[in-house]
Amino acid sequence: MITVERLCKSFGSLAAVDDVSFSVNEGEIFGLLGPNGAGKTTSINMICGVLKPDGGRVVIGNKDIWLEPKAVKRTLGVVPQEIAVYEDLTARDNLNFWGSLYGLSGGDLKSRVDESLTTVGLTDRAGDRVKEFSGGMKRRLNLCMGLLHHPRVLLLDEPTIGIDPQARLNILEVVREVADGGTTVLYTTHYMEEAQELCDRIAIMDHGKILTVGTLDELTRLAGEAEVLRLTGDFDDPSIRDRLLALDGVRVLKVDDRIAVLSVEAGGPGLLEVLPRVLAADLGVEDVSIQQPNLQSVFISLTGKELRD
Amino acid sequence: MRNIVTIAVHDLRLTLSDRGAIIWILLLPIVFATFFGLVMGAGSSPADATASLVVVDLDGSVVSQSLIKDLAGEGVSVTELTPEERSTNPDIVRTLVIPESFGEHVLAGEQQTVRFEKEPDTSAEAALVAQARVVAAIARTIGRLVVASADVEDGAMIPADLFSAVDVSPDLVTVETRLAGRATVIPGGFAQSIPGMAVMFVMLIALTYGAASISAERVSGNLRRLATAPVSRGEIVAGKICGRFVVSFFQITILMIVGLIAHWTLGIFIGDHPFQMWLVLLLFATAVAPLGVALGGWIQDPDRAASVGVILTMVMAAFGGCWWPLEFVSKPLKTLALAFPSGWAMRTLHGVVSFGQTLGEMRLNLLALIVFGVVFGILASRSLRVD
Ligand SMILES: Nc1ncnc2c1ncn2[C@@H]1O[C@H](COP(=O)(O)OP(=O)(O)OP(=O)(O)O)[C@@H](O)[C@H]1O
Ligand SMILES: [Mg+2]
Repeated sequence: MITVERLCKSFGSLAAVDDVSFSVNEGEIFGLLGPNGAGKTTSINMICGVLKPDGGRVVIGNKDIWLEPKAVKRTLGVVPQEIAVYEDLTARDNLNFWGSLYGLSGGDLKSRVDESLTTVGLTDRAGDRVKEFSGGMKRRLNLCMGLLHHPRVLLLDEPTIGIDPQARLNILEVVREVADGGTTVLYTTHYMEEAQELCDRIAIMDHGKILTVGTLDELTRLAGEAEVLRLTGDFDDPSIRDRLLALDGVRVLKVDDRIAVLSVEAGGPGLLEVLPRVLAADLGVEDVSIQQPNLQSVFISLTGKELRD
Repeated sequence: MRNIVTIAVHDLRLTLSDRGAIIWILLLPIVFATFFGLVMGAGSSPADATASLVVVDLDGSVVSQSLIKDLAGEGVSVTELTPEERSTNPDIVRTLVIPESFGEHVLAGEQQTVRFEKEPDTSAEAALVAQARVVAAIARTIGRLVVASADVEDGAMIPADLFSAVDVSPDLVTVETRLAGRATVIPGGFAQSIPGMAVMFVMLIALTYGAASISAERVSGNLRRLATAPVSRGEIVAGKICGRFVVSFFQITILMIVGLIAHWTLGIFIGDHPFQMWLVLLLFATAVAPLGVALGGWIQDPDRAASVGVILTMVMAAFGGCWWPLEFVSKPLKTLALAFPSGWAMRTLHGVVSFGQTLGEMRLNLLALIVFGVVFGILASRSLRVD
């Protein structure tokens, strides 16, 4: 449904998006996961036809968005990362304006507006000015505006930033519903839990590049089947680091002054044997936590840093 | 087209949702126009002012007294003074002096000269009004003479009692007292302040609110979001320009209605062609609407955009003749005024309001406003970026 080919964009000498390619199948929720500054928003802006790419192309439903912008945009719903609504107008006025840009009018428009207000749970605040809304309500309206015209493809740029867990669950719920209705979703986030829970397939992005693409299973297998050990202690002494690196049966994914992340090598001795060995190595470990392999460990193994760095 | 209308109507709604904007759009222009209208000539205006005039009657005959009565009948407020009173009062600005034996000579059919004196540096407009009324009163006197002479032999003197018995009804001799002397009159009072303030406030709203709202929309991400909808960039630019125009249309129409009401109820002078005035103001609005959009496109920060809009408005108002009549200024400044759409608008409005010119006669002015609109439109479409 969405095909992105060799997309590039530079700002001065900074390659914000560098040779990015991926494709999203119809009806799928596709996650674009990456830390701040990875180039997610820049990618979305090029995909939705707002920012002209330096190179590459974007095909949505067999049409190139830069060649047939109007036809493609009619099928597209976009929810930008920055809340973009008119604060001086009511929620309903915002939606009415937005809906009429997609050719909705009269009773049709009204029923769509009512429906999407219900979807995001803003019906009883529809007549209030947006500037009186809480942050979470604005976020929901921001989302609502992207759903109004029943797009076939929905592009969501970090739709859950800066809101409480309850409101976040609500938004994830809505996205899932929309996808169940057959809409193709491209979802960017820097929360790995969201990507893990929501997305059918995930692309991990950093420094403008796609590092890997796959289902959650495929990606975690990539990092090794085994568990991840996360040690806390003083690791700035080079001799301790040497001892860490010399350990058998583990792979050091990352080490800094306070944190070391090790993965237990697949096909090796296994956690029960490795753990006592680590503790006996006199590394000054203050705390150990054991994690199942997840996107975090995938990200660490790909980049040598944690997602929240 | 539908998108352009949608965006334009949306813009009007956005502007009207701001209560402060209403004050600037409607209230202040009315306050300013009233203030300047009263300050600049106390509401005197070419067609309806009652001119005041001091008359020194050295003659004191039936004829001179009849002339004075006719003057009052023409709407001149006449104060009769003796030469001594006249010379001791320094505040007198206009005087009509009727010479000795004026009546005698007139009744004998000899030509006579009355003297109209005007102090320098006093209102030329009021003087012209008074002068026109004097001419009308003299015409009436001549009318009486013509009627009375019908009963008298050729060349004979008309008896005074015959003269005073003649009843000259107003329609027997009428003189058009409207001031049609083009460019010799300087519009003052409401004839200046209403067009001046209308032009200035249309410009102020288009350039400040217009520019600030465009850059605010970019800062808030709404402009970029608009570009994700099935709307072309051209439609966005056109929609925004039309939006500013729709706001001006609303403003101009309400102000014109207020003007008409003031005219009917208070007798405020707004000229004889309010509809043409409305059209000229609308054309002016189409010329400046794209300039507001262009400013908003260029200037990133909404506050800065608004302050640049204010400065530009003040410059164009001053040089365009919104504050004082252009007929008043030196030739180079008159020429400079033509560099601004406001100058062309004021010129055209004075033509409509004070000089009785038709829009057809002023088509060059209208064309100039259109050219400004096109040039600013091109600037707007270059400057408005959505990414
Ligand atoms: N208009 C711009 N001018 C200059 N640099 C830019 C511009 N937009 C983005 N960048 C840079 O491009 C890089 C990618 O930015 P982008 O906003 O795409 O990241 P992101 O993945 O969306 O990050 P976040 O999670 O913080 O939203 C960043 O280094 C950013 O500073
Ligand atoms: Mg972003």
